[in-house]
Amino acid sequence: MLTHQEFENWLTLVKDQLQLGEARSRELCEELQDHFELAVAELVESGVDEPSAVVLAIEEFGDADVVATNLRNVLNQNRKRWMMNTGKMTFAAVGVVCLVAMFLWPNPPGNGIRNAFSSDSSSAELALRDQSVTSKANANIRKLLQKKVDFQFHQADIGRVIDFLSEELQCNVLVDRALEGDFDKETLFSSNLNQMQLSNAIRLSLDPYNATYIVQHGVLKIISLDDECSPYFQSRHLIDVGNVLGLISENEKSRIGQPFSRTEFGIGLSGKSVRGGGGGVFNIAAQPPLAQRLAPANKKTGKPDNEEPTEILTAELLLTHTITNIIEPDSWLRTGSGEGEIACLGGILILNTSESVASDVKDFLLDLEHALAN
Amino acid sequence: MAKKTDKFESDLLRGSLDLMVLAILDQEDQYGYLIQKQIREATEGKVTMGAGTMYPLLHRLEGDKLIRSRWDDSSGRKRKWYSLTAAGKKRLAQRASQWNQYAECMAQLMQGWFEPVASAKKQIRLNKKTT
Repeated sequence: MLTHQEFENWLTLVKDQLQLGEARSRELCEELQDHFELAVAELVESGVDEPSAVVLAIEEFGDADVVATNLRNVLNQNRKRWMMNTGKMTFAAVGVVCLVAMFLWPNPPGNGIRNAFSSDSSSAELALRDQSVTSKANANIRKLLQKKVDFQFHQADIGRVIDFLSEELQCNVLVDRALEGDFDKETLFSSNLNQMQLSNAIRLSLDPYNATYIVQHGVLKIISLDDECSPYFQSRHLIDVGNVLGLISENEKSRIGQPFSRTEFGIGLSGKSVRGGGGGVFNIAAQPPLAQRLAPANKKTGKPDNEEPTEILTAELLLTHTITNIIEPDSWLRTGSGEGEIACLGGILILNTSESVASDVKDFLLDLEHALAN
Repeated sequence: MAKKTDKFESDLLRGSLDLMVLAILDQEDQYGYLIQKQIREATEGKVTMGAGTMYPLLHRLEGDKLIRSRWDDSSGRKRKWYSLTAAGKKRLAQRASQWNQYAECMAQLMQGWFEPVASAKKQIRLNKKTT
């Protein structure tokens, strides 16, 4: 990396005036430094000597005071907007949580609140309860999303659609600001779907507007399809897979409990063809370890010389790997290309992913359970 | 008649820099230096947006959610790349349409002074062929 004292001084002047947090400040400096180095390199390549190139590149950036003022104005404006949006979201979420808490609290509301504050570990307990209430609110919305409705609108304004959803799902409905231009107050919404599961109806109808939905903090939020895979918009889903795990253990008893090499085995359910939630059909046969096929056996032990550490194959492992291989493979952290997370604990499948991927996983599990049982 | 290398007046440019950046990012993802270079080259040096102007503009467009950024170091160098969002595409389409209409109105009003839009289009086609 080039270090030029003049540019360092210029950057310090800008940084001092911006007074950003450390991470934000470092990012901004790295971006400007990169630009500066490319500008100097290009000038040197065109025949300018390096000291002159540095001077020209700094001149091109302009006066540090002016740049800092411009950046400060923009960043302040962005921060204000972010705070307003977050404030609105928090206010809505707190409102929903309070309302749901009032209805769902097991004890009389007065006692519950008093108990929570009088407890020694009150803050931790309260946080857990809040989370639990939000999860209940999310679960309630997801349950209502399963019901069948007539989703019919003709050139309707968005307000009417939101009112309808809000009433059907008994929750607040928000439209993300990123959808401005695609789905906003000027949009005329049309949809003609009869007796369709509400979740599918919303997803299908929003698709032409480059939008979809998520359920988060007890609120249904309409977001851009581009943002769907952002970690910020992923949410937690808990699915009971006790039956499926039992069926997998039964059907795959020759493999379950056996050692396997993670790097050599193609992990996946074998023997049956099952229609995946995404619509594809998979049929992955069990393979012998590649190492056994390729590596020469050790004469004394009879095992390959390059054998790698092995672990025991479990029904949970088979299930989670099959899901990440079949349902939106690019969306999972495990495959290295996405942000979605998956784990299986005590017969519960835990997903942290987008609403549509979670919905595909649920469909797939139903198909899988049916196929394995038959 | 202005010479080819003459720079545009800054008040003529006001309001169009956003559109230039959006149009460039519509073609492919870019980082700051490349955006600046493309504007300079596409306008044959008539528009030179200084880095001190461009970065506040990029951060503003990002705040407006018209573009998004990501850090990438796959080229061996950590670099911030910008891409257009769906809202950015929509805004670009709206503004481009307004600009077309505006240019046609100006052509109508400034007959005799205004180089026909058709010849500008022809020039763009020729430039594309040569590159």
